[in-house]
Amino acid sequence: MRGGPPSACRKNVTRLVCLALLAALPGWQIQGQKPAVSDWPDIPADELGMKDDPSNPGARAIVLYREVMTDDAKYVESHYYRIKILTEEGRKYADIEIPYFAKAASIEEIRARVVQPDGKSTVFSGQVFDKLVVKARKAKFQAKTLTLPEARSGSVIEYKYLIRFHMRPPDVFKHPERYMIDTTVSTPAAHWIIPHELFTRRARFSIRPLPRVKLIWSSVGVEREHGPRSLPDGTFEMEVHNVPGFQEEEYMPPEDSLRARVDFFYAVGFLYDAHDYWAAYAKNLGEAIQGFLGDAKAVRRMAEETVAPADTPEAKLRKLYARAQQVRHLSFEREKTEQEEKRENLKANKSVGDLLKHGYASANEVNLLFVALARAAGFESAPVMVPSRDRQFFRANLLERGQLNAMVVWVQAGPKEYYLDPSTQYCPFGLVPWIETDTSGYRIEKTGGALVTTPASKSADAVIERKGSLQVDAEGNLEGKVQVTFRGQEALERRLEYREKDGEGRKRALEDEVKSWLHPGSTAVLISVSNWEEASETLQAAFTIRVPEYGSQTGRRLLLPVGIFQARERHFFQSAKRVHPVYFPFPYQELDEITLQLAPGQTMENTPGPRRQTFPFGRYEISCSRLDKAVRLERRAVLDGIYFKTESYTLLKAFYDGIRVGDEQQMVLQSGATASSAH
Amino acid sequence: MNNRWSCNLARPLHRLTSVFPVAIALAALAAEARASAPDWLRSAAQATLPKYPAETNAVVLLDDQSTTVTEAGEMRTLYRRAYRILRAEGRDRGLLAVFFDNETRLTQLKAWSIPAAGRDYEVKEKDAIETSAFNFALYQDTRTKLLKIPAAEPGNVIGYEYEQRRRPLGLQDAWHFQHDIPVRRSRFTLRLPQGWEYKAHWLNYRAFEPRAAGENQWVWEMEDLAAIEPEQSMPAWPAVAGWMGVTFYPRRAGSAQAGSTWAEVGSWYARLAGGRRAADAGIRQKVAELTAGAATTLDKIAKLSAFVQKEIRYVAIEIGIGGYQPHAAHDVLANRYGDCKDKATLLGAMLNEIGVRADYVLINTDRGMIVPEFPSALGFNHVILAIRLPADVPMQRLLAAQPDPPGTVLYFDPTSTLVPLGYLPDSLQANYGLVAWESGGELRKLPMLAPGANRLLRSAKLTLTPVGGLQGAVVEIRSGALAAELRARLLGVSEADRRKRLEGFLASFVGSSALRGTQVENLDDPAMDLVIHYGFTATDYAKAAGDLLLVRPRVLGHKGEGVLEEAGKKERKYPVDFPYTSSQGDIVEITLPDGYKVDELPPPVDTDTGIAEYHSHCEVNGNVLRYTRRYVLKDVRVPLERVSELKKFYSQVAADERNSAVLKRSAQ
Repeated sequence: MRGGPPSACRKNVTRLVCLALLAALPGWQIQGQKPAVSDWPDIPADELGMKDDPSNPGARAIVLYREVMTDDAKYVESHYYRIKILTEEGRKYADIEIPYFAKAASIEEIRARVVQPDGKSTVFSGQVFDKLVVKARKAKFQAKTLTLPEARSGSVIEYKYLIRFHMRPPDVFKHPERYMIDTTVSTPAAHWIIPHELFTRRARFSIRPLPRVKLIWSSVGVEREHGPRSLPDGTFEMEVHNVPGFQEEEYMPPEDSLRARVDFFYAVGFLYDAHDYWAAYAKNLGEAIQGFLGDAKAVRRMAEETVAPADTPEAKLRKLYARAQQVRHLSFEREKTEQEEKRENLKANKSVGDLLKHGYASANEVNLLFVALARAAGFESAPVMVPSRDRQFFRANLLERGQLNAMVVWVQAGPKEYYLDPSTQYCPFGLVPWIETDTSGYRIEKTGGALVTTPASKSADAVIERKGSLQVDAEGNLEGKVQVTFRGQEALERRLEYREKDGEGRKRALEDEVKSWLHPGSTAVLISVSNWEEASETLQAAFTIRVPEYGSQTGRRLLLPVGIFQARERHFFQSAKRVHPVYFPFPYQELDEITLQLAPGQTMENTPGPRRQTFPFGRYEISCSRLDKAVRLERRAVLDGIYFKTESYTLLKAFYDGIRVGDEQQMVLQSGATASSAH
Repeated sequence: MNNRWSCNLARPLHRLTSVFPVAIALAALAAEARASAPDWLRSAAQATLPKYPAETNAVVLLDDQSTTVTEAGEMRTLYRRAYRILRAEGRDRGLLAVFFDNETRLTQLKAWSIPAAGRDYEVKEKDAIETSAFNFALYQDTRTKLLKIPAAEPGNVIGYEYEQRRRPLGLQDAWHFQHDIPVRRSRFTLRLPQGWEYKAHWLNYRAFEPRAAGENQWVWEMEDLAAIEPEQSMPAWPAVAGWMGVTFYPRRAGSAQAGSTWAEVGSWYARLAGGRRAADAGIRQKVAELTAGAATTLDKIAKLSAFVQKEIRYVAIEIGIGGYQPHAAHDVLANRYGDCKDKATLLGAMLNEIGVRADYVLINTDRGMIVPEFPSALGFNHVILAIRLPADVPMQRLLAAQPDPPGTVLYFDPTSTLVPLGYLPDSLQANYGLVAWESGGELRKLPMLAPGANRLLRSAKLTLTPVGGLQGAVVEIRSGALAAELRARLLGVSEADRRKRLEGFLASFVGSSALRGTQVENLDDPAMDLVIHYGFTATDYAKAAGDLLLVRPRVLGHKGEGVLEEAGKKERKYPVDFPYTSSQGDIVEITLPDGYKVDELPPPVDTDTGIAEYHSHCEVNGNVLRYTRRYVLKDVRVPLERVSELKKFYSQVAADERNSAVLKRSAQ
């Protein structure tokens, strides 16, 4: 499940965590030369006269130039923006907000001016406000705000400011030569996020680092030859040109994986490249986890009591898995206030032995209990740290352990490997939550680690199945019973989402979901639901549904669309163009088998022919079979992929367009009434 | 409580229902203390409860508001509230939000929880986090304290109390005794100085007399109040929930009491803003520059209005009384920015320079928030202008004009950049506004624009292929609110994004479609109709079934009203409020492929409920299938007793929109 290592592990890596915390603050590490505050650079005539963004006509504004200069010797960072306002709406960029943590930094030397197309310049002389954003006890998050009066369409606005950091780097980074370091330590120095929300004509980034410590960098979306270059004085700098504004699209991969960026790190100790970093990470965490697992007799006893010698390996694992999930899991309980936690006074588990004694676990401690039980039962087993891929993909060259924010368990049973996650409530044996599938991570072994990839999810692991019999009446209304079955990820998603609801709340949520599949005006009443709590079983719900005026009448005919449960389906990928890859959470299947009973007097005049389409990543088929006074509808939509490059977009769009065409086909019934209109 | 006039949407200030990002931080706060719930909360927790519906999340056991007024006019109000949480969904009652600013001091804040088992919890003001109350302003001094109450769990009782000290603009208070959950007991206590008296105004509830509770003290108390359950498109809360407004004043013969009549509220505001509209040389020069060449008074008004609407940027900076009092007109012009009252002030000053008087109009951006029965400054959050039109101004295109004998006033919102002179933003139509002038003021119902003011005409010339493909061109002409809505979506985005939005619209009606050539006219000019041209091609539009081809002639657009199409188990309790009236029409001509003849056409629809009407007709001329329809929504309010009739109406509309023409392959 998502979450860090157990508390005992955290304690053992306190030193590392402290350093990381320092780095996570907005930065002691920052900035370069003192900005020129008294004069402004000349603005070229073509920028003053610019009327539109040729690369993106109609854009509100464009960043002509942006500069971020970090000087870690002086603990400052300067920012400079030159923005051309192109439309009335673009004037919003003249309202400037600079957020900061008062305790960590101050904002100084704010300067701004507005230059009109004729070159007339007005220097900002108004008030800078200090706006409170949030205050909790002594922590204050604030923002400096100002607005530039003369800004209008056609103006160029310029502003700059200096961030002065109050916190200083630990001495080990200032004077590494004074320390005997027997491990590897790194801390972030700067992050250059290249795209702005606006198109950027030119941007320059630089960092003058601490003088005696090694600075290494990694990047996403920046080719090595265009990356930072080192200057003789030790400064790194990079200039970029014509960077499109970042666009959001539905079903895009995590934003962090798409935004071009460069990350700098200070490194001390035996750290020369990313391999060293992750090796040290795995070693340190492995030691900490080993300490947590220990060699508790209680664990061995529990394993012995849980499994029978005659059990198959998988049967043993299933029993141990079920046993681990019986522990009270604090992370899936309601979020408590500090006062409630204090009163409950639950001691942290320092080991699996503590866990068994206390009878509760938090975060990934259930996973570690399972590792201990599996090992006690003779299996090879280890935790695997992975990123939750709803938020980020693993970047091995990014020296941030925080990427690996989730844990699954690896078990070897004979020739078969298992990846499991008993720490996630309702997650059945054999399944891991989709955010932990098909992702790289580190298997944490006793003496180190290995880079592994968790198995990809299959479409059969996420199924929605609808079966039922519905009566069509003479007016085209539908009514009947439908049994809906959710399997795998589909069941897990719902169990997790609705876990804090009571019976009434879950009932309403399921009814609302079914109604959302049907025509507007439809009703769905839950008759029964089974296996909410039995995670190893499918989640099943039976409904009575009524779809008024489902059929449209043309006189003597009644037309019925074949996609009963797709009436309000959101249509994916409407745009002809796509900027980012398409990224789905998991592959899935939808299976529908519905019998429509015709009303007396109705006869089937025509049914659409069967429709099938097969793509490399999915398939779809729909058919209508005539029965005696009834029609049987069968529909199957299967998506087997999750990641589609931009080049594949057209094909993917065609797949979903084809599904829509199939679902919108209509059956033609003769209602037996006299034709009421004709040409 | 405080409401500032900066176009912020009014919201309940006692309890915010939206999830704050900072809520996460709350979980980490709240230190343990020697906790014991006070007697009033213990007593409330003992209340026996009637049987509530299964979906009731929580119940207010006690809602106790106690206001004490001093001789100096300072108000001290103690709020106490107790809840019993009945379901997990009721846990959100454990997040308390209390507003304060320089004029409304928060003098105490505490909360408790009485768990079904175990000791009580207590949290205090120091456990709260503080945040800016509204985020629309560049700067303002208003704040909110957020306090998370421990153990807000089903079966538990939670409660809180806080005291606010106010030196209010008017000597008034409001008791909102109905909530979105049932209330077991609600109480309001009023303590006035010797020689003072009060006047109560009851809204949406039968009035009753209080009991005396001491010298110049009164108590109103009620039990078992029904929940006001939110419904989609229901009128504003103060228009349906029961509440009492109360005005108090010293009993002195002939004394005028601020806030006791609308005239007094209006006069107070006009005086507060009075000195801010003086014109200086800069304003005079700007007026001369803008009106040079304008032939008529109306032309001049239009030039000045457009300038303030477009060139003065909306930026709110509110400090202290600045929440109510505008900045000086010359400062607004010099800065080129301001909030709604600043923009109204500058335009008022500029109009004055051409001899046209304009009065402030105080209003709320939600229709129904202001109720005529309770004269008060408490409910306003926006300022516009009532321009007194000289006799020579022609009225033809001034749809937001209203007779004001002996002349005419034109209501105009200089803050809205999407609605031109002559129109009113839809939320201000049929809404109450207080026209304010120095010697008085008058609450008026602003005009509701006729359906013809908000038009959409869509015409399409299309061709169907023998295999069901459809292609052709579409033109849409929009005016009024229908143009403003679309302008709001298209103005702030690039051409590429506009295209994406049109693609999204097209795809919601026509699958497998590709947009071809788009052109938008008059996007920047709200005084003109918004015109959009586009073409498209679609494969598989018509559905084949044997030798039949099924064609939905409506093709594009939806005239339904989702709120009236949804089926629910519960009967609706409140009227429906539409944002605006409208008149919409479609003309679709589809050239049919050779080899097919029309076998059946959808039946015509002709229905008129008085509130809305819909007419559609399908015919064949030669090889062209022509579908026309007209939809008119004539009123913005549907009374409860007519909701079922409207549901039936929209059901007919939806059926017509789904209908298909049946084409049959001709015998060869």
